[in-house]
Order: sequence, then structure tokens, then C-alpha cells
Amino acid sequence: MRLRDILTTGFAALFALAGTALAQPAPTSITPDLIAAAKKEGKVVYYTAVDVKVAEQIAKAFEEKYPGIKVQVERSGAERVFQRIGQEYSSKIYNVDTVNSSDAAHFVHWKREGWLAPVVPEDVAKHYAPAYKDPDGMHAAWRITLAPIAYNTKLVTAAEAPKSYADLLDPKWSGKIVKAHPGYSGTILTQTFQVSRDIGWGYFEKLAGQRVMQVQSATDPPNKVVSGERPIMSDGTEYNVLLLKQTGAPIEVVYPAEGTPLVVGPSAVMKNAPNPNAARLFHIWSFTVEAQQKMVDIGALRSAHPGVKEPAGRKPLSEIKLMKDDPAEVDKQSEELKARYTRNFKT
Amino acid sequence: MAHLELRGLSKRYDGNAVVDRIDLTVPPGNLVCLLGPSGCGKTTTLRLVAGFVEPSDGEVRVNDRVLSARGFATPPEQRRMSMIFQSYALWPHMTVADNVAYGLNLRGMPKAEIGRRVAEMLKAVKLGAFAERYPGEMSGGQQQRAALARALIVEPEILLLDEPLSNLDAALREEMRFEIRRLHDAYRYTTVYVTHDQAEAMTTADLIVVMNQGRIEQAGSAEDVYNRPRSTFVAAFLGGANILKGRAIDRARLDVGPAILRCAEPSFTPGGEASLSIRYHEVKVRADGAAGDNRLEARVVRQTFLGSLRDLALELADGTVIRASAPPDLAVPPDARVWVDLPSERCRPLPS
Amino acid sequence: MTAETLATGVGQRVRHRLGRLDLSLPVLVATAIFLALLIGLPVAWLIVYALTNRSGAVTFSNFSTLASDPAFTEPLVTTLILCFSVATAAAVVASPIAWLVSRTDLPGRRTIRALMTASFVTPPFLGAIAWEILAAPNSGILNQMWRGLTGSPDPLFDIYTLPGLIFVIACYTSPYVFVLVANALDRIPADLEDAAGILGASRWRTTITVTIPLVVPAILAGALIAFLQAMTLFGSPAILALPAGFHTVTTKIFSLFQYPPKPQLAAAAALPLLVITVMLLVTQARLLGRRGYTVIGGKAGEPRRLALGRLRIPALILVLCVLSLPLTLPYAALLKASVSSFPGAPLAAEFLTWRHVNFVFIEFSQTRTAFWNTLVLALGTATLGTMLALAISYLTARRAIAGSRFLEFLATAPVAIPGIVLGVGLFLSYTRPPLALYGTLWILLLAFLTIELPVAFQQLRSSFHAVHPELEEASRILGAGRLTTLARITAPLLKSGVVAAWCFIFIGVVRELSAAIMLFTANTKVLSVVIYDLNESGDLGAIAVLGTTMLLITFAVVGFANWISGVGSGVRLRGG
Repeated sequence: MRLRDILTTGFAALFALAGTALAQPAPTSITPDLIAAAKKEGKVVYYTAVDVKVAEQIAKAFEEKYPGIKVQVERSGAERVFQRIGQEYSSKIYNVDTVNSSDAAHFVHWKREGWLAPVVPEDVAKHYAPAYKDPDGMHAAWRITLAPIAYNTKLVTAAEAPKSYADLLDPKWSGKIVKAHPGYSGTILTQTFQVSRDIGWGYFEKLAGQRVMQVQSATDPPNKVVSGERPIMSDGTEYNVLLLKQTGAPIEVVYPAEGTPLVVGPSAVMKNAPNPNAARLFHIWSFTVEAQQKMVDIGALRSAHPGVKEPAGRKPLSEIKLMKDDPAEVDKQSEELKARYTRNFKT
Repeated sequence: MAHLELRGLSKRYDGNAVVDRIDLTVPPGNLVCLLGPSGCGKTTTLRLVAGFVEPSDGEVRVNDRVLSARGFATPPEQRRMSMIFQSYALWPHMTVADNVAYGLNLRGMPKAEIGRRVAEMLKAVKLGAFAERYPGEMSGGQQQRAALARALIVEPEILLLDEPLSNLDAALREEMRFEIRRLHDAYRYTTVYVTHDQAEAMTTADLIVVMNQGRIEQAGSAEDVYNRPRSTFVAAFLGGANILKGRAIDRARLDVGPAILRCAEPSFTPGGEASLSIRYHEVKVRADGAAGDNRLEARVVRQTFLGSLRDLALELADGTVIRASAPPDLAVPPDARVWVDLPSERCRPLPS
Repeated sequence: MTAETLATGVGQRVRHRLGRLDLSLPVLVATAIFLALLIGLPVAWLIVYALTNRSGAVTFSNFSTLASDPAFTEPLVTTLILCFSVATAAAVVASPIAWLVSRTDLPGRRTIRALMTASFVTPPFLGAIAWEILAAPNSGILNQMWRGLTGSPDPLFDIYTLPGLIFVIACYTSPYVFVLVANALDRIPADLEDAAGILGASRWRTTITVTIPLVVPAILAGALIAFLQAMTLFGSPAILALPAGFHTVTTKIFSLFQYPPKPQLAAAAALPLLVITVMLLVTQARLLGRRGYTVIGGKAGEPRRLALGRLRIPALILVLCVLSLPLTLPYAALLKASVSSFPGAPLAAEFLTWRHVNFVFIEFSQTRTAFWNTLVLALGTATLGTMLALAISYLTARRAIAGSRFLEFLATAPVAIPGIVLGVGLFLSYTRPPLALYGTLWILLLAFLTIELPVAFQQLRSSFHAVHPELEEASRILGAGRLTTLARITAPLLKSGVVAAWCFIFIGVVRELSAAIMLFTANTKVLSVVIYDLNESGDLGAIAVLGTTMLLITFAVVGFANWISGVGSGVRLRGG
């Protein structure tokens, strides 16, 4: 362990301690009472922005573990999830029990609105670094998504492939890049924020000159790369790239030299959840090693749970240069980022 | 002017003969009326002549040129005919002038000439002021005149009319009958006219062809078919007639049950079943009298005052009911006994 | 029957009649009020929003914002180009096919009609997705084949362009033109053509001078519908325009609902579309002028078909080629996608998979809810909508109550409101008491009812015009009330029109995306929204499986509706 890591862990432990001591509510564990109450409710409505297949698998694992509780998966892009909940809550419709999104800024907003219920799963309290949980226990990083570069291995050799964001601006990639849209994808909104912060908005201005193909969700660019529609994706979700690679599709991930955008995807329980017990049960369970490992294995996502083992062949998180997450800042800038992006890319 | 001839013309649908072996000759310049009830095959005959329908058998000839034969029909557009449809078939998207000019345009006539002729023709049919109207903006009679103008202006070899007056009201219909005859006398196109209206046929036709069940029952002048019907059908269809059935005693006398009737023209087969016809207005009714030749007693079943005459239903001794048109001043109450005369010169034997 | 029982019977009947008020007027007035509310309420809210700012003060700033910002004016120009092109393309392609099917001896005419119906049943957004698979510039199957054949580095056709979008929308709007023109051609009395023939016009000449001018109104009406469809569609532009880098008015309006939502601007942005629609309707009336296009009298009769002669087979091949664009090619692409393990995978055994089928029918928890909701909504809307349209077309065709002209306008007005805007209006109307319907299927039902009403109304109104009022009068003089007459005499006479209207609504609901996307909630998701969500994340395989299943179900229902009503075997969208 390097010095920096030691320090980080130390601080984290300190903060965790302080947090627990000061404000964080007591951790909740899965008790027979909770299970019984959840079973009485019989279902949990799960709004999520995670890839639909991952969401369905997680739901299935939960349903197998707690028979009699149905998980209703409602998957759409993070921004749409956000818009939906806003629309529903403004007309006093309380459909959603628990929510997971790829845009941590949304949780800042919801917390401010007072829509979230404080629930601290046992695992979160014990094992999660403070950077990955809300000090008030309103939400925690259920998943970590990276937004790297990727290329089609049939159309581009490893040697030719871009290694950095700077490489993407090479005229030879003009008309060959696909990217997702921050107006529709929380992952990309966060990515846009981090890249513009760390490299500067000039990158996007130049990228707009590269005749990029624009798609909505961050999960779509890997598909476009695999189908050969565009050989390169400048952003998109890492886990979709890895999953496609597993099926034999010709795709390879590139972690850009400038750093890979890190997107924390928190989960939370809604204060007005129609099935509060099932919501809590699902939420607590989803942070256990068991569920997190499943998420990592099936979904090829990254977990903030230290107990989770990276499957063989995946580059561990610790070996990747990451950009820094800052949801509060994304929340502040989101409207301006989107407007600027729309002006820049004309979509 | 053309000479039209139909030879053994037949049309069968699924084995049913709609037109059954028709032979007919129309001399140039004549107006022939095909007269008959609906379903008698007259319209199909007309459409066979027009070339819209192919014959199953037989021929349509014009000036000795075969236009239709079994499995073959010169297309209508090459027949140099024109036709007036029951619906008038005026094109709703063209003005009256455009409708009328259509045929001339097809013939490649210079525009100025077309304009002159159209104006002339519209004047002839009294539509001079309506040239720029659309058909939807005109009355039925005006539409009918426009249809006439459109058909006449192309100077067809043969003019076909399919129940042209059936959509008009009674007064207009009578006026148009004379109008058609007047125009025919003016232009003298060989014309085939289809109608179910006896008065229309009698007003307009040189030759009346009575059709029934796809066949020609009788053809002749108006007087011919009216005064000398050759079948029960023709007798009944034209003007109405009493048909009396019986057994022939000799060539001139028929035993109809309550009486023995003598016919002026002897043509019965003695001993055979036969019938004769006598028109309603030829039956003479009187309040009193005695038995005599062609005279018998009857009971009044019903009497109706019709202004110019009195329509009577009379029951003979054997229960047969005959009708008579009596003078309007003959007032007989129902159930009264009367005497009827059936004059022998009016009793026409019908072929059995 | 004895005299006594007879007397009792008569007595009962008389009492019955005396005791029964004439319910027809209240029912008709209630219908009119319902319609006025159904359409008036959301439109009123839209107008209120368009004229207010965020704090609720009256302002015209929404319009000035729109007019001065190229981010709004550019989509408007794009939309206009799109609509004119689609309308022209649909009319130019579909009218000749309608003529071939209705007036010539083209082989397989019935089948071609059925196939045209199939392309009508296909939702435009599904077609857009399928055409992505076919004609994406690099991965598109057709473009790959083209490159393989010619060695050319450039694609044959890029679907992510404005022409690409025009093409896809035209594919799925041309059936409107086809149905209208083919029906108009079917109804031209044979006499009108015979009259030209006997005057010496050849078949071709007759076709050009009589037949075609008579269907000009139908062609115009069809082009108008295609125009309005292109203007109000959301799915296809959302799928194709974003990658192409441009917006249409509908995608722009949708983007106004991204956080933070700007419903005032969205409402204002919808206004140009309404203005355009009104202008079009006025122009259409001008163009037709006073020519009477309603055919006078005339025997309908079987029209004589033009013999194509040696052109028969080439014409058939041409028609089949055209039909391959909305049908054969897209469905082949979808079928392939439904069994390919990843997008663009070669069609080889190692890349074949049942994964998507398995996912859709077993793993994917939304499948059943979405199918169920879609089916319930489609059946419910079709049935209620047909009844409503029947009542309105009765009121307007027979001028039964005062203000029927206004009703006619109301029933037609929704064509001008893009689904997405209507969705907003409905959202604004039904999220507050007393009718807090948001979150239930009812709000979707109301939305679909409003959106589909114009088509059903037009269909039934023209059917009504074909039924002579005397037939109804004959029933009423015998003692039947208005409603009884409507049910016992008119409705059976209108049967084919009613079935057609029902099917139009059913199909329309299954196709509907733009209002649904504004109004669905977790429990009220419909298939189109599920497919749209899946497309957002690029799950082509699942989309393909869902899309084909959806088509099969639609076909089954429409076929069943036709069969059970005895109108004819197979799918037929005709009548009136």
C-alpha cells in the first residue's frame, strides 16, 4: 500500500467515524421483522438507470433470495428517471420505492427537496469509504461506472487506437466517433463535467468538429462500436464494453491517459415509498457483498465495497487513473453544461 | 348514319342467359326503343352494342362491320357511338362546357371551332347560360340536357340512351320526351333507346322492341305492338289488357266458362287450350241488357273515379275478375249487376 | 294470441312509451359536452401556459424567445422541409400503387392491399429502428452489401440525414394516401369512365382526364395527413435526428422537458404547428373550389380494369420493390436482430442466440405489463372512440343539435396538435383535482381518445354521408327513438365503416408514442414506450422481438375484428 492510499484510508476511517458519531443514522441490518414486513408489501418498485439486463438480473437474484417480493424494474436513462420522478412528485404520485441513477447530482437535488429517507445499510456503514456515501445517510454509491474510450478491434488495431482524449482530435478520426448525450445520460453529464474541468471545454469544441455521431444513452455507444457503425467511442459505459467483449464482440476498452471519468451511481430509498419495508430490504440487500459481487460479475460494473473481488481479466480500479467525482458541482452546473453542449454540438 | 344489326346476340352470366339470341335490324336514321320491365335484358343489350360487355354468342354489326362477336369486342372508344347514361355520368370536376367539349377535344378539333360548336349545341339544348356551371350546381333537367349535348355534339354514328329520363319528375319527363324526338328529327342519328316506360317509347320510337326475359317478344310500330300484341306479355305490358283463357270450340270461338266469345280474326286450333286479350277501354259496360253474342253479366267489385274515366273491377259468373274503363258518368255502386260487351273485333286471339 | 293478451301487450307498450322520456337529446348533449371538455381542457391549458411565464404572469416573451433563437427557428425550418417532402413523396409513390390495385389487372391486388395495411400497422419508430440496422452509414446491412459489391468507400444511403428521416417517415405515412386514394377509386361510378370511353377516349386518356382528376381530393387529403403526421411524429425523428445532428420541432419540444422543464416554451413552440395546420386546411378548401367532387348519382358497378398487358409483371415487380421498403427489408432486419448475439454480428451459427427472446419473455419484467396495458388501452380506446366518433359524426352529418359545426371542428382539431404537446396539455389538465388522473391508465386513455378521434370521425362521417337520411326517418316514423334508430338501423348500415374506424383507432393506439412518453408512469407503461426506452440503450435484439410480437398481435386483433363482424376475411382497411 502506497502512502497516499494509507492516508486516504485513514482519513476515510476518520470521517466515517466522525460522520457516524455526529449525524449518520444508525445502520440498519436485515432482520426477520423487516423481511416479514417486506413480504407483506409483496413488491418493490425500482427506478434505475443501470443497463436493463443488469437490473433484471439483480431483481431476479433478490426475488430468489426473498421469495414473495416482486421487484418491478423501471429502467430508463438517468435524466429521464430524474424527469419522471420530478413530474410524478410534483403531482403527488408516489410510485417509486428505491432509485438508482448514474447521476449523483440528482441525489443532491432530491436530498435538498427532502424526498429521500435516511437508510444506512449495514455494509455501507461498515465497509464503504466516506467518498461513497452521504454523510446524512440518505444515499450511497451502489455502483461505480467508468466512462472510458473504446474501439472496434476489427476496424482499428491496438497500435492505431487512440490512447487519450487528445488522440481523439486527430483528423483521421473525423466521422468515426460515436458519443452519448449529456441531456439524456447522467453518466455523460458527469463525464462532460469532469473532462471539461480537467482538460478544458476546448476539447468538446474541437470534438464537435470531428463529425461525431450523437446517440442518447451512455449504454448505446458500445453497441454502435460493435456493429461497426463507428469504430471509436469517445464516451460510453465501461460495463457495456466489457459485457459485449464477453459475448465475443470485437471491442476493446481504452482508459484515456488524461484520466478516466468516474461516475458514482448512488441508490436511495424514497421517503414516500409506497412499500417502505420492501424498499429498505432491497436497498440494504443490494449493498451486501453478495449483491455487489453479482452486480460486478453480471453487470461488469465497479463496486465501492472492498469485499468484492474483481473478476479475472478486468483491470482493477486501483490501477486506473481516475478523474475526481464532484456531484455537488455537477448539480450546480448541470443546466449550463447542457445548454453549452447543445450550442456546441447543435443537438 | 349507320346501319345497326344484331345477330343471335347472347350474353350469359354463370350459365344464365341475360340476353338470349337477339336478332334485330335498325335501319339508318331510325330510333329504336328497347322496352321492357327491369331485368328483361334491355340495358345489357345496349351495353353489348356499346362494347362495354362482350357477347357470349352472336354478333353486333354496324354497316356490315363486325364490332362484337363471341370473345371479342372492339373497345367502346373505337365505335364512334355516344351514349347517355341513366345517371347522366357528367364529370363533376368539369364545367358543363368542358363536359360537352370533351369528345371534340378527343377528335383534335381546333379550339376556336370547338368553342363555336359547344356554344351552338348548348343553345340547342337551351343551356346557353350554363356553360361555366359545374354539374353539381344544376338541376336534374339541366344535367339531362347537358348529357344530351355531350352525346350529340360528337355526331355519333349511333346514339345510345339508357333510361335517360327515369331520374326526372313527370312533367319534365314528358317535355324531354318530345325534346329527344325533336333532336332526333333534327340530327337523325341511328339511335337505340332503352326504357321501361311505354309512353316514352311510343313518343320517341320509330320501332318498338318489347323485351322479356332476355328475348324479343315483339317488334313493330307503336300501333303494331299496341293493337296487335302477339303474346300475353306484350298485351299486358303495353297499356294493360284482360286475358281470358278457355277452350277453342272452332277457329273463331272460345269457351271461357261463363260465356262463349267470338273473335273477328279466326286463328284458334279447334279443341285446343287458347286465350284472347281485350284492353280495358274496349270493354263496354251497361247497366241493363240481355244475354247475347260476346255479352255477359257481371258483378261490380270495385269502382274508382279517375276524372276522365271510371276504372271498374268486374267479377264474372265463374269468379274471374276483369277490368274495364268506363265513361266517367257511368255510376254503378259496388255489388250492382251490370252487363259487359266484349266486341268481337276487339277480342284478339293470342298464340298459345 | 287471444284478444285479451293482445290488449295487455298493447297497453304495456303504450305505457312503456309514455313512461320513457326521449333520452336522445340528453345523451347527445352529454356527448357534445364530453367532447368539448376532452379537447378543450388540454388546449386551454396549453394556451394559458404559452401566454404565461414561470411565475404565472401574462407575457408574450415565450414567443419572442422562440422567434429570436436559432435553436428553435432551425428545427421549424427543418420540420417544414421534412413535412413537404414527406407529403410529396407519399402522394407520388402511394397514388400510383392505389391506382394499380384499384383500376388495373395487376396480379395479386388483394395481397398488395393487405401488405399496405401491414405497413400501416408498423409503428414509424419501429421502422426507424429497423432502418438503422439496414442503412446506418457504416454498419447498415445494405451499405455493407453495397461496399462489398462495389468496393466503394462511401455508403449507398445514410439514414442519419434529413433525407433518411424523410424516407423513413414517408414509408410509414404513404399507407394513409394509399387507403384514401384506393377507396376513392373504388367508389368512382363506372358510368363516368364509360361516358368518356363511348365518346372515343382510350382507357389511358380516360384515366388521365376523368379518373385521376376525380381522385385529386383524395390525393390531397392523403398528402395532408402525411404532412400532419410528419409534423407531429416524435419517435422517428428522436431516433434518427439526434445522430444526424439536427432537431425537429417535436424533438425540440421534448428536449424542453429535460430538467429544468420549460412547459411554457413547449406550449408556445406548439403554436406554429397549429397555425400551419389551419393554413393547410384553408388552402385545401381553396384548391378544390366549387368543383363538385361528390359524385352525383351513378351506378357504382364493378369498374372495368385497365389491362396492363406486357407491363403487368414489371408493374408487379415495381410495386413489390416499393413494398419492400416499409415491410420486407425492415422486418427481415428485425428478425435477424432478434436472433443475433450482438448488433451487426454476421449471420452465422456461432452468433445465433435465443437470448433476446428469452430476455423479452422471461427475464424482462415489463413485457407482460406493457403488453397488457397496450392491449387494454387499445381495445378500450378503440371501442370508446368508435362510439364517440359515431355519436359526433351522427350529430354533424344530421345537424341534430345546434353547434354541430363547432363539434366538427373540435373532433378534427387534434390532428394539428402533436402528441407530445397534447401529452403536455393532458398532463397539465389531469394532475390536479377534481380529475387527478395522472399515474392511471385513464389519462392515457384520454390522450389516445383525443389523438385518434379525428381519423375515426372522418371515417365515420363519410360513412354517414353514404347512408341516406330516409333510412333513418323510416325507422323513426315507425316509433323508434333516435338512439334506437342509431343502434338498430344506422349502425348496422355503417358496419364496415365502424369496423374500419375501430381498427384505425386500435392500430393508432399501438403505434402511439409521443403522448405516451409524456404520460406513462411505472405501472402504466405501454409497448411503444418500452421499445423507445430499449432503443435509448441500444438493445436492438429485445426491440426486434417485442416489435415483431406487437405486429403479430395487432394483425391478429384487426383480423379478428374483421372476421367477427363478417365484413370480410383478412385484414381490410376500407369502407366509407
